[in-house]
Amino acid sequence: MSEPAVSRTVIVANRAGLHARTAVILAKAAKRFDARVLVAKGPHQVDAKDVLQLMQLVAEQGDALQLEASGPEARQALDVLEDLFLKKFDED
Amino acid sequence: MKFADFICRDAIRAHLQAADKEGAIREMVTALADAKRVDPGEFESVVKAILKREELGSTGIGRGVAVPHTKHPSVDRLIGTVAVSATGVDFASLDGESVHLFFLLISPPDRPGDHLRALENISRQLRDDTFCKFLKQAKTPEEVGQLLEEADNHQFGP
Repeated sequence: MSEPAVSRTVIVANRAGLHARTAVILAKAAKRFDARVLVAKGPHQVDAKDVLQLMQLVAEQGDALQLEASGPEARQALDVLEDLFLKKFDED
Repeated sequence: MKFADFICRDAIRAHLQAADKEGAIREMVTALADAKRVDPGEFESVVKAILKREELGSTGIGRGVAVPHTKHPSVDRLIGTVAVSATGVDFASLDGESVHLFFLLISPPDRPGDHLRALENISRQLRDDTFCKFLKQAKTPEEVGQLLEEADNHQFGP
């Protein structure tokens, strides 16, 4: 049985954007959940659990990203990921 | 952005001696100083800044790769180097594996976009397993430089 996908828009607020460390934090957080999580900047959509893919988004400060998740823990995953963006990954 | 836009070929090291994080970073910054890309007077300050960044969370991104980096006011453009360690360095990586391949980056404080574009280039190229494997097996700085050049010319991946 497939769960409906949930999605949310977040803004990259930290000055440095989605660089190596923030990508690692995001991937680590996503991996904790039983969910498939995707991050998209415009048409470019990547797996939130893959650091190399996340760094290819070149997500800069001010960019809007679409988070999309499906699976048993989709909603919890998005709550945690959205919070990371809101907290600016504890940077700045 | 291409490797040629930010990697200083004179600072490439194919045989990293250090076995720990600080030693590896010092060796790479020394290589950049020897190549006259880092001012010797700023050496300690650059090393400390990179180590401080690592304290916030390891830049070991998995697959045996790390991208230690910092912003530093002593550089006026993005510079970087590549180093290979045959034995591997414990870098507290995401996947717990030791690091064999390093891309060290130093960027001016006011250019966060350049840093992201360099990371994009590195991560895109590293998705190609052949490129990754060849780099880790490279025996000389010239060999590493050649591989970077081939990657710049789209000779790896799709």
